[in-house]
Parts: sequence; structure tokens; C-alpha cells
Amino acid sequence: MSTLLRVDSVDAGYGDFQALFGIDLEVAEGELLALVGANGAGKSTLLKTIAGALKPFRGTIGLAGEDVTAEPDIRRARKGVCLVPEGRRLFPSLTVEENLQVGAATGRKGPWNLAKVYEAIPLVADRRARKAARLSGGEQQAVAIGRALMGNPRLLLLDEVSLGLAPLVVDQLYTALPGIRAEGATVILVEQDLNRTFAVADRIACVLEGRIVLTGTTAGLTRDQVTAAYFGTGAFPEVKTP
Amino acid sequence: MTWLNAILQGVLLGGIFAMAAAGLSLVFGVMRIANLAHGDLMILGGYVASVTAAHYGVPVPVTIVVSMIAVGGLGYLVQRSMLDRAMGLGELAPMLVTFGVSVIIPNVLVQLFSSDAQPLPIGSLGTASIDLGGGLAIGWFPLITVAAAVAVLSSLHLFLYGTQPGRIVRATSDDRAVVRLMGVDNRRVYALTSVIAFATVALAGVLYTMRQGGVTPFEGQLTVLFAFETVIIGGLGSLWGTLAGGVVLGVAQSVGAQISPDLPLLAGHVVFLLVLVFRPQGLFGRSVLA
Repeated sequence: MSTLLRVDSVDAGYGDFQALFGIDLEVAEGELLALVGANGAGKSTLLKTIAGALKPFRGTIGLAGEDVTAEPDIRRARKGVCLVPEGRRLFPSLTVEENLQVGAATGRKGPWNLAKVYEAIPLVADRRARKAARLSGGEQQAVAIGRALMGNPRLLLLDEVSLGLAPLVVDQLYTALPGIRAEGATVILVEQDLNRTFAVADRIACVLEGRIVLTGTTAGLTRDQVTAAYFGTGAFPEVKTP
Repeated sequence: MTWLNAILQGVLLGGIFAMAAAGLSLVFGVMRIANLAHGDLMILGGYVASVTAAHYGVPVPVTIVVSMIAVGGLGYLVQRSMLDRAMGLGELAPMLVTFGVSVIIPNVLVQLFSSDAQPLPIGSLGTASIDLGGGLAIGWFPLITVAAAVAVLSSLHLFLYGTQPGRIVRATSDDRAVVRLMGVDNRRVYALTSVIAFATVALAGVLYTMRQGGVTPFEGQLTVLFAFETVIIGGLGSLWGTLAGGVVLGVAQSVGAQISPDLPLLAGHVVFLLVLVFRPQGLFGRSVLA
């Protein structure tokens, strides 16, 4: 499999505050990588940096062999990097369907359109005429994912999919995941629930205080290793020094 | 019957106010900029029309198009060269830019054309009217301005609610950072918004100038008040509210004039204050949830 995303010794942060230290990460085409880590570990910052919404202090970001470090979020979106941001960030005064239509503004050709999104995420179809401001948290998350899909992503970045949602709703969202991957999207997702992470991910990367401290295939890692990396306790066999 | 006539004339006057206010409302909605130069841009629109008609012999109806293109183009330049940068500096900076523009425009106009009124004659159209009987008459020209206002507001509504670029403008108004994640350049949206707003206010300015028979450099200080009052009476974010706001303000001024010739402005301001006190969200104002 060819490498789709290559993050190379990236430092990033906000103003004087540095949140990421020497991040190295590779994601292969078609892969599903889960980022695991405590609140404030830097997972969202990493996704924003990959999407181009945040400029790294140092390091490079490559997409399909091309250096895109200098390209802003607008251009990366047109190249197929689609971020579902933390807190969903729907357009509240637009209807669900209008939110989805705006998602298609990347101008990318691909398998996703309104009918296909409605089919893949029925929760969205039921609410198509409703204003986004009037949705429940789970519905908002479903629409946010649908909106990103409308951009026909090559690399889909899902931040905190299940944060604050009822498990039943989260189940519904996750059932859409295989269909999304089948259409060829590579996925990086942030998930707090280890059971779900192990169930869906090909590979896991643990982020601790702005550094990636453990990476491995889901089959090659144990829950104890990941838990230890999450809390920063104990020694891990594959510790990466920053 | 004179009262009914005053109300009728007020409704017709409201058309111009509504058209002038539409751009103000749009710019505030999308970019959160209170454009203090809006009245002066309206006057500038009138000047472009009267100058091209008087000095270059352009037929008066064509001056409308010339003015809309010229002022619309100015909107693009102002947005790209100044407002984009100012928006990155904070909330207050863009408003100060528009304040600067509102100082520059009338002073340049005085330098170039003196403070004499620049006429924009529309011939017999200015006095032609339809007699409704019983002392009531509708002037053709006021009727045309109301029709133009309804057409402009309808087109804006169709654009914003029925087209993909319009949806993107509304999405940008909701969250300018997130549209970038969909490949939308928010600065291009701002430029488009400014062009639309400047062109519509130029149209309002030309019609205003035709109605008054001419235009003087500092009238913008008054018309900007009318535009702000119209937006606030009608309620922010509602185009039909803007039309209603224009009509309410027009009727207030017209009825005020009927009571006493020095009352129209005061009557308009009083109605505006009453709305602010008793219905601060405006007659048709909506919360985000509506």
C-alpha cells in the first residue's frame, strides 16, 4: 500500500504555546488510524495541522508524495483532506440538506452525493429539512460527517466522534464507517472508547503530552499497553523518543 | 384623504430606504462589519450617475448601470485592499476603515464638484402620476422605485436561498473558519458580498438622486441614518423585514411631514426609538433558532 499521509517531525501550537513536539506519522492509502490520548494531549491540534487549519512551527506534511505544508486549509480541502471538526461546527442557520450541499464546495468528483449520504447515514435523511441549530448532538455529528463526505474526501479526519453522545447513537454512526471506507476514503479518527478503537482501527497511535509515544497495528498491541500510554504510566516496548 | 395620501407616499418612499438598507444588512450579516460609509456610497452612486449624464452625455437610464458597475467595482477594491486586512486586526478595525471611507467620499466630492447640487433630470417621469380618484395619486417614479426595491430584495433572496453560491455566503456568515475546510475561500465570499452590497446601494443612490432631482456631497450623513434605522426597525437578517422597515420609516417621515414640514426626520427617529425600546429585535427580527 502506498503512503497517503506523511507527517514529518512536526512541531505545532498556538502562539507561544506549543502543543505538538516532533510528530512523525505515516498513514497508508485505505488505512484507518485511531488517535488515542487524554484530553489536551494534542490529538485535535494534530488533526487541525493535517487539515491545514493550523500552520506547524516546524516540520513537513506530505499528501500522496506532495509537500503540502505551505498550503492553507482551503487548498488541502480541494485535494481531499476533509476534517469533521471538534464540536461539529454545523452552519446553524442552514438546513441539514444545505449543510450537506455546502460540503460539496470542495468541487471534488467522487462517489458521494446527497442521495448516497442519505443512504449511508439514515439519521441524516430523516432530518434533511430541519435547521441545523435544532438538532440533537448525535444528529449534529451525523450531519457533520455527512457534510465532510459530500466533499468526496481522500483523507477523512474525524475528531471526537462520540464525545457527549449516547452509546446507541454512536453505534449508528459507526455502522456507517465500513461503507465510507469501502468508497476508498482513508480515515484518521479520534476516539476515547478503547473497545471501539480496537474494533474499528487498523492501527493505533497514542498521543501523550504532544508526543506520539506508541504506535502499532491493532493486532500487535494490547489494551494494557495502550492504557499505559494513555496515562503515561509504566514502560512501553515501542516507546518513541521525541 | 390627505392622510391616506401621506401614508401612500410614505410606502413608496420606503422602497428606496429598503434598497439602501439591504446592502448594509448583507455586509453586517456576512462580515459583521457596520459599514458607516454606506450612506456616502449611496451618494457616490448618485454622483456617478449625474456626472456621467451631465459631462459625458450618457442617457439617464444607462447611468444606473454605469453607477452600479463603478461602485460595485469600488466595493471589490475596498474589500480586497483594506477590509480583508482590517478584519484580521480585530472587531473595531474594519469599522474604522469604513469611517475613513465615509470621511473621504464627501470631501473628495466637494473638491471635485463643489457643494452645489448635481442634477439628474428624469424629465416628465418625475411628475407623471396615476390618478386613483378622490385626490389620491401614485407617481410613476415612486412606483418604479418600489418595484425596483421588491425586485432587488427578491433577487437577493433567490440568490441567498436558491443557489449554491448563496448557500455558501450564508454558511460563511454562520462560521467563516469552517467553510475553509470545505475548500471555500472566505475572502472571495467577502469580495462577492461587498460587490453586491455596493452595487445595490449605488442603485438606491441613483434612484434617490432622481427622486430629489439632484445630489449634494454631504447627504450621506443623513442617508446612512435612514439605512441603519431601516435595518433595525425591520430586524437584522430578514430581507422582508428590511422592506417592512423601509416602509415603516417612509410612512413615519411622510406622515410627519403632513403634520408639519419640519417634522419628517424627527418622526422617523421617534418611530425608530420606539422600535428599539419596545421591540429591539426589530419587527421581523429572528433569533438564530428561527
